[in-house]
Amino acid sequence: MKATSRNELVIIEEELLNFLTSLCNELRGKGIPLSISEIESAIRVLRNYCSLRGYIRENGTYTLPVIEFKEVLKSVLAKRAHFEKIFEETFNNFILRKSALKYKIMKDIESHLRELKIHYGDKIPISKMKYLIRNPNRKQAFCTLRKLGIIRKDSRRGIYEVLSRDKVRSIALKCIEYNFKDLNKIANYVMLKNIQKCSLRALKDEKEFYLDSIEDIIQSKLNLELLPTAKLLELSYYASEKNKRYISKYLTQTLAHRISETPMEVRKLDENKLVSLLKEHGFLSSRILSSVLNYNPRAVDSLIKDHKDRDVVINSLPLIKLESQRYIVSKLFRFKLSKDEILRIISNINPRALSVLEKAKYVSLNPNEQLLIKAAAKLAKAFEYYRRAFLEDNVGYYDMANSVLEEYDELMRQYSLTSKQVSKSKLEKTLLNKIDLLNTLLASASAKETSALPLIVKIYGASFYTLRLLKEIYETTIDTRTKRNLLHLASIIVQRLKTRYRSYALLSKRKKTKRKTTSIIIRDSIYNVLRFEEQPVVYHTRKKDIKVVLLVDVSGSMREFAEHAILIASTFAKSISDLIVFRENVIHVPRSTLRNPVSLVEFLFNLKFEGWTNIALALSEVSRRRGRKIVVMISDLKQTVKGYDPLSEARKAIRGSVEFIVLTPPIHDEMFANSLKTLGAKVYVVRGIDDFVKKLAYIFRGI
Amino acid sequence: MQHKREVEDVIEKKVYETYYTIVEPFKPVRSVKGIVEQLREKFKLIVSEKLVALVVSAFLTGRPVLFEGPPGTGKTEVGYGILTLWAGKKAFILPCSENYDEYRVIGDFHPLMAMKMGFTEESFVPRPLLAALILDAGVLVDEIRRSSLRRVFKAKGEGFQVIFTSNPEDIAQGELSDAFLRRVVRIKFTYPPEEVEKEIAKLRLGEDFKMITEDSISKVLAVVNELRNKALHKPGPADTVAWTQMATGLAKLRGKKKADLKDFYDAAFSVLLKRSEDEDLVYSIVEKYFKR
Repeated sequence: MKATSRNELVIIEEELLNFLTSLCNELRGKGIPLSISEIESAIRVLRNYCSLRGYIRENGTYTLPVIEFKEVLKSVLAKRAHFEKIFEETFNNFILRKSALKYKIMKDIESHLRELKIHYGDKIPISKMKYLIRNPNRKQAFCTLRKLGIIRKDSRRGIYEVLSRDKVRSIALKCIEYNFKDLNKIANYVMLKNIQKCSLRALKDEKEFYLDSIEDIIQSKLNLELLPTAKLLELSYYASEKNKRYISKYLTQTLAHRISETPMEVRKLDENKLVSLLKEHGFLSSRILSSVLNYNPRAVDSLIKDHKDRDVVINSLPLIKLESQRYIVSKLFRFKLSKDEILRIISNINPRALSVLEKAKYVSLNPNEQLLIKAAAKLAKAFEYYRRAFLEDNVGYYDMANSVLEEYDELMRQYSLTSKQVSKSKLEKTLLNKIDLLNTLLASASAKETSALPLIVKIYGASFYTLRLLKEIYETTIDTRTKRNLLHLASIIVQRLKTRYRSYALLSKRKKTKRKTTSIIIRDSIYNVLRFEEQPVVYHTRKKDIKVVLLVDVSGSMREFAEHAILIASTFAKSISDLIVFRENVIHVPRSTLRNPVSLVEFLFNLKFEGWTNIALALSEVSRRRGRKIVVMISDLKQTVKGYDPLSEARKAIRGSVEFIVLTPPIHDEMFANSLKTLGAKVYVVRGIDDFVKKLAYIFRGI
Repeated sequence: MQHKREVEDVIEKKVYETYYTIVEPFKPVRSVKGIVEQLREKFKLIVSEKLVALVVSAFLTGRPVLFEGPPGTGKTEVGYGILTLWAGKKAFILPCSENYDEYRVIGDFHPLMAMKMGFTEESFVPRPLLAALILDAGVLVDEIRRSSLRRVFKAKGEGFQVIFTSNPEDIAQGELSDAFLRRVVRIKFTYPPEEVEKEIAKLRLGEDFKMITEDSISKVLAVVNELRNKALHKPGPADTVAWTQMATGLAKLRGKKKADLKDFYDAAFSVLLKRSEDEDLVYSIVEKYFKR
């Protein structure tokens, strides 16, 4: 959108929505209630008005007098007399501010060009430019212009190219949207966006330039959340190579923070670089390390050689998931470990991870301890065979399990013979505890002993981990009675978790407001009059009849969030009218399931978190539901099923909603999230599970 | 005639029998310039192209229009004119009052017929809004704040459009809800500038305007503008026209070729004096300009 000299505005249709959204946001901030439908009406009325008055040009732009533009918008956006003044002031500020800002940006760009003694459209050899920018002022001007994309490098021809005046103008127009007053800050912001979009190859080719830019970005205190994790790592590594310690430390700190919040990101990263950087700057805490090892267990290879690092690895073991634990333990036992280290490892790991210790080296242990470790490993292996037998429906595994169990019995018989004389060591006690636990798991898996189930709850407490463990046993068990017991037990845990969620919600300060109507409840009022109450008149209160639709993405990446979301939904089942879970398809969860803990647990236990995501289908399901509704969507916003257009479905869904709230993990489709924001949805990025639980509970409490 | 065609539906038939002759159909005018010209020629109204374009674009968007402004600024007449020209049928005007509800607007059952035939289509009496919907004519809901109606009527056919008028300064009237306002396109009416007001008077008076001197008309406009700033009852362009019409009428009765200051002075108070609180003010201002 730009102003011409004759008090006219040239409006580009694509920019109109952005302009109106930001104008309406500002008006909302000043107390004018405006909905999405009013923005839509404004666009339509303006389009019709321009075509009636002949203001439309062929290329989809309108040129109309500022006054008429203002009057048309006023007729749709300012409906009360006292809103008119607010509208006029805001509108004038908006238009004036934008044109003043554009003028300033163009002026600054031109002064930088003058500083460098170059003109629009010039082509300068790289060597000449290098000579030119030896002067610090010129270097600053050059960097700013390059960051903005006004000077571009053409390595093939060995030149720097300056863009033409028209192209620079269109860049300046885009710059206005960022709402910064200082050109350097704008340049840094543009650069940040460029780094976000550019390939890792480009980053490598232009190391120096990107490193200088990131230094400026850090100094201008811009939020690095926009940068992908892989690029943060690369930049930090380059900085470390170039001895720019301050930058490297800052980037690594951001990286460590990111990893602790979204450990899934680690999968894509080079583990050696990551670990060396974390070690170099002292961010290798057991929490961070567990996040790294959970998703990239190979990172342990570079850590276990050093004694100190090995300690950190062992300490972080309880926080690591089973599969990664197995890999790490098998790697650890390749080294000559001390007795104390072995004790710590065994007490820190899940008993099922013991299965990898069947052939491990443990020279430092006495024969009894060696026997027990082997026995525990056999038992863990037998459990795994049982599990596989059920999951793959392969009877062969039962035979394998039984043969392993026979070996275990033999080992335990040997142990009982030798251990009678000697008092038990600490390691032995720990191993025996693990064996007990494994026996419990095995008993429930083979459905011979069901009374052992509450033991699991006793050991692990009413936590999400217990629920997962029970789910695993549920999947392995064949016996229906055990399954029923498991469901009962899990439903008790669910009840306790729900109490915890409720307490989160009670902490929130959001208050419900009642809307008083003008009609009086006569009976109560007369009663109050007779009792000489201070305020005898009682009014009817109006309850908002709004549906709440909760959309939960249950694709593989969203497992943790989805499980919590469903549990929270059941906690606030009264407020929720529809719960829809979606993957490639859409499943509507009945309210009765949400209200009954046993059927909720059954639903959760049978829910598979895998497959592709089809957001468009879920959104079309929402728009099919009539009436006023608040939609809460939990998803990473990544449409992985091709051939659908989620944005157009979102537009329909948002149009029919009173409020559209999206909760998304830090790694999500940002473009889609931004488009949703533009359409008027509220998009919250949650930092972790705790944050997610609190935010969702807060939202439901508010409803 | 269209109404003579076979209409099977009982209610439609009733609507055609009762209302079709009233709407006097003619060829609709759908261009902005055409509407502006016709408003000037047929309805003697001076309306800017911008306003008509805004109203028409609201019609095309499917949004009803709300005209808001002080009394006497021509909201009702302009609304009626535009609706009539747009639909090619005389628009229905619903003058609102406290007890003007859905039954009086859409339709209700005739009590005696309902007793005889039950609550059937035969005993149903269609009212103007339903008639407008069926006949595809425009509806002007005058002084919406005075009625208990707060619905927004969505356009069904091209000709069926709704314009509401309202005076926000009228303290005796109710407040319009946010939900209602959200659905309409609001156009504000204000007092016109002097030249336009003079033009309006010229158009309305026709040949009689020649009886008024340039000096007198500028004095009339000065008085009216001063009263708009100071008085409780603010005279609108309609009052200006009424005053000049009365002055020329008096001059004719007195056998004069031109209306002089005395004619204006005599005519002034019957038109401008609407509130007893304004009495002294009106006298002093009129005397300042028209007392010989």
